[in-house]
Amino acid sequence: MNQVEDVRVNELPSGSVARVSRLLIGRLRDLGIMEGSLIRVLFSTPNGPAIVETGDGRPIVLDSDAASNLLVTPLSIPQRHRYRHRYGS
Amino acid sequence: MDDKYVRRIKIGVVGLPNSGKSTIVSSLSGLFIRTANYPGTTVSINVVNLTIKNLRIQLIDLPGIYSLSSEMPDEEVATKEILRGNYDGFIVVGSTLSLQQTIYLLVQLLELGKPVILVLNMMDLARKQGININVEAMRRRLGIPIIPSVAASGVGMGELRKLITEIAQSSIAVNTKVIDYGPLEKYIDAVSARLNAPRGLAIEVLKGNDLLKEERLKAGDIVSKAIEEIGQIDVFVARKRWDFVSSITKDVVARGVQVNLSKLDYILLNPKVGILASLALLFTLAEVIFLVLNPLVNYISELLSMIPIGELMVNVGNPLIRSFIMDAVWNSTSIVLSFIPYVFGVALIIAFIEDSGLIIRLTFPLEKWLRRIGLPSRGLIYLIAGVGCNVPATSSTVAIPSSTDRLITALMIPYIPCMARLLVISLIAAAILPSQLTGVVMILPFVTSLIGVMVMSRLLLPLLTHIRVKLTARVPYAYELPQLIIPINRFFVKKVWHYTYEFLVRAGILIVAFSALMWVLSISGPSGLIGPEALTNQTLIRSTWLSLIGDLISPIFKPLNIPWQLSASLMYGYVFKEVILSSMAVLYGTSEEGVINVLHSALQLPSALALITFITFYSPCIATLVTETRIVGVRLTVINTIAQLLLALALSYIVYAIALLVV
Repeated sequence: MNQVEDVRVNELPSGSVARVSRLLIGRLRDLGIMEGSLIRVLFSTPNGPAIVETGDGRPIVLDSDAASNLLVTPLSIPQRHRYRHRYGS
Repeated sequence: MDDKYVRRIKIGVVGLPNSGKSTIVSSLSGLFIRTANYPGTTVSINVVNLTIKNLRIQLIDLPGIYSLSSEMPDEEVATKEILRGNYDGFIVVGSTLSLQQTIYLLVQLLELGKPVILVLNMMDLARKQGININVEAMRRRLGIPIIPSVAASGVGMGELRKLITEIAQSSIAVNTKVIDYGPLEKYIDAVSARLNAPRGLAIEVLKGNDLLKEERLKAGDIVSKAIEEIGQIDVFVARKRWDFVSSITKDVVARGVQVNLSKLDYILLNPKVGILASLALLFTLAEVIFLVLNPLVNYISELLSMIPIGELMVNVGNPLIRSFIMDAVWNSTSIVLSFIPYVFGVALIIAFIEDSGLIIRLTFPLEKWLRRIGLPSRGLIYLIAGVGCNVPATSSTVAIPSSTDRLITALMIPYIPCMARLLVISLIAAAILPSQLTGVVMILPFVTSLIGVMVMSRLLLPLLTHIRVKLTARVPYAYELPQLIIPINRFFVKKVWHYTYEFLVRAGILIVAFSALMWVLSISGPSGLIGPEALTNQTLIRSTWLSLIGDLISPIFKPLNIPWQLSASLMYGYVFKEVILSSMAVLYGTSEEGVINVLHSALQLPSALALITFITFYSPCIATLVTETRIVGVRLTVINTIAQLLLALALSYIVYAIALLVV
């Protein structure tokens, strides 16, 4: 089985589900985004800001810097994005 | 009452950003709010004094935070106060719409061992969304008083006042051990004993809170052992706290809090259509300022012109006093008064965007692009509002949480052409160009302004980091998305009134005072007092200080073929941009209506375009300058003002050269 690489959360398309693998800024922990927790990407722009939903349903806004500092392991990517989205390119 | 019976207590008002802290403080006091600038920061902390019976209470309204280990420079002000300040107790203001985040913060305050009252604000909005919180169960779990509240309409404030008095009587239970940290407990106790510090402070020391480096050194051996046994303590503590939050939320919330994004959210936050939707909304906003308020400005101007000031002044025998009242005081006062609708409009829109939660929606899709031109996304709204009037737009930048973003925004607002500048520019355009081309030329100030912002934001950011050590890095933003609400309540009205009043009082006084100074320069010269005749006599005016200053400036504008009368009248722009027109009229010995004809014969198209470019941002008015000083300090204001002048001059020369080639 192929090993899924960690990516920055703003590399994933909107609608993706991912597991948090590494936080490069501690502040995210205070917002409930912990290593190992599941998040859903509500909105994301390539290398830009993102809005993610935490496990307990809270939408967290991440600016470009914060989004680039949140590394995740993708678990599911919306079908329409699998072949043409930036992820994996 | 005898003063010896009066007791004094100090209470910190702590809460998440946008949870309604200030609303609660205003609701409680109704007295006065004093804003204090704390050293090393521009973040204001509101200090409110109130008296309940024989108790004097000092309420300290602290900036919003998510935890005690804040990474944002501005949040540090609040956490420093909480950790180091000598407080008798805390009011934690929580939003029912962010219940988990509220409990996460509350736990940290409880652990500090001071009496805590939890105010659960926005209960009405929670009910509307079907979120039912069992407050009684929450009281039992946390062991502290909890007040369900709707601060905007005063619900719960009576109970809060009563509970504040109980802090003074030490009758509020203190519950420091809400969470059992298991293997970390023995280390918490050891640090606590070593430093003689409360449990919460010991936890922060073990977590490695940057504000407690000294304490961490003192407890170095205990911290090392704890790390050896537990690993990353900050991760461990955060996990324990979130587990607790999760367990309590399950117990007390009847319906789980769900992501509740509106249809508007899905449009505005969408990466593809959001940019267009945001720009459309922002453009509409600016249009509202331009179109809706313009007739009101004209109406007020007409009303003011109906006041027979000349006839009223007939009885004033001394011509100098008469001229002072009419030409200096009345003229400037009427300009300030006629501008109130613009200021009110800007204040209304800024307050609405800030309080409704729209600010994040509007700037989210634009953030990446704004970053590319060196602008903070949060500053966009204030820059757009600056088109109405720079003064309220600059003063309201205090709401921007990051100091770097706040400074850059406040420094960039003067580059945005305000209504007064646009009025002068439109007059020049109308004088030189056929009416069908006026609109095209009106794009020029906005293009110039964009270039100015792009150039200066890139130049000023390294300068900021150079002269203000604390701003060396831009801290990443991460925050819970606030719900969209319609913030029409008495506190919203108060906020709009506050912005408008600030312009009227502060800016108004300044404009009148500087008009008086310019009046003195216009009726006197190196030979002494010439008299008010100089204002209408073309020969006498050449002997005034103003004319001399105009002569000094004119060599700069001579290559652009701009006559000295125009360059001298630009001096008045430092008072208020609209005054440029009346001073042109004075210097050319014509009426304000006649200025168009004068400009038509005095300026060629390339010179007119260069003048328009220069007026766009060569200087803000004195009221904007003073407001800018309050936000960014004197040094940066001076640097920025000089930079504006030089850049405006350089761009006007470039425009002139291009126009000569093209025309």
